[in-house]
Amino acid sequence: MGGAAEHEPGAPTLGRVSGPAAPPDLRARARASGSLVARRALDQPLRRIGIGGAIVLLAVTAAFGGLREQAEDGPEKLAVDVPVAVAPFELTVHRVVWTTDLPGQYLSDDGNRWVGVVATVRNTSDAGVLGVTLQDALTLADVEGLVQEPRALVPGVRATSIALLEDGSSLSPVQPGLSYEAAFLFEQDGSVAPPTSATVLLQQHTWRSGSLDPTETWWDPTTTLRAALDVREARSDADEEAES
Amino acid sequence: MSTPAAPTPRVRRPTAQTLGAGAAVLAALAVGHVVVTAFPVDERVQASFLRPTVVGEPVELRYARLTAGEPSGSTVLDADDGSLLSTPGVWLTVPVTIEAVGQPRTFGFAELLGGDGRTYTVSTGGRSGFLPGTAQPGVPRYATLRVEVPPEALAGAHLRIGLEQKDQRRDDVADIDLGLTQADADAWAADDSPVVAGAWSDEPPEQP
Repeated sequence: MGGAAEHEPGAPTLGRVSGPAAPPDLRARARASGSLVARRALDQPLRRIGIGGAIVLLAVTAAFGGLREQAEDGPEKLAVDVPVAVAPFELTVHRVVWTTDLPGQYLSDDGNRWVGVVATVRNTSDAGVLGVTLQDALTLADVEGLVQEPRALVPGVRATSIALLEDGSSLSPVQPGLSYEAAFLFEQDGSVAPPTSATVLLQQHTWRSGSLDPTETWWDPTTTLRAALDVREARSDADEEAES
Repeated sequence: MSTPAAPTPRVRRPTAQTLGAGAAVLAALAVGHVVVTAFPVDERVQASFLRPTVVGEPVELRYARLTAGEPSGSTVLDADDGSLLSTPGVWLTVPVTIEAVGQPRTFGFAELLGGDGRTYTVSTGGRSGFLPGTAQPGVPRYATLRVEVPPEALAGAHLRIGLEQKDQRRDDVADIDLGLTQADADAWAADDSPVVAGAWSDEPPEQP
């Protein structure tokens, strides 16, 4: 028993089938109906139906811009101290630092440290935006040992908290027309060496209603700028004065 | 023995009545589309019932009687929890008295419509916040709303307060004209003595 069955010469194989794809009884009904269109359609072989379907699909996607040349090549390079528009915000990234001690901020483990992206935040829309949207707007990548896990819908790792430099409070809501100096804080495992470089990703949102909820809000964070920036240890004002 | 020939499947052709019914359905859909497009009423049907009032005047809502007190402002806010909050703009505080109607009510919605045409969000937990908790019927609840805004938003600002945080459609919303002027904005923008916005209370706040 066994052994691969071989095809007899001239026996039909699946690859050679070129007859009509529709079952005979359906074709008989189409003939009886007298409809020329139905008869012709059901007499077509499967391969021809497949090719025709693919052509129709291509034509439909082309009609909606599917063959249009790609306008964007990917995220642009982020420059330090240059304001950039990433709706609904204007963000100016100043520096990336790390520290083990920040008043008013609590690490999940005493041995951990903060990696902070210091930036100026401005809400350029005409309404206040909650901090969760701001958390999606600036994320971090290429840093080993970040405590926060990356999320499915946002590239990179979101900040654990966003603290105002002036009073340490959490920045939410972000009101329009005001400029805030803030630190996006990412907690890093203390057993890993402090980073010397980190990739900062800036995401732009789109104002639209949800698929299930007609309420309009900011959706679809999409990376429009990114850069690998140097990371240094944070210094207090007193340290900097002593050095100068 | 001969087998009887299989009956030829009968094909039902659409009757004039069926075609007419189909055409009527399509015509009804087309007319409906034209009506909805020509007379967009969705926003008006779903709009909130705005109940206008001014500072010091109670407003009757479906679910509560609400009174806004005299607004205050400064560039520093005393959150009454040991922290002082600064702002690149101006802190505006508004004391609010809530008298629940019928059953316990938890207010979850507030926003400031600035005189500059922008909307300033007031969350239930954040720098700009309003957290009055649950007001019981027969027990007035006192709470202070706080919101940070650019000084140019203050003159002509209206405060809106409602029940549901996410959805105010087809429900009462208080629309309070705060009566603020540019002189108020200028004075508060130059003032760094903290304004206090403490936690909610069932005791009336002390008068200064």
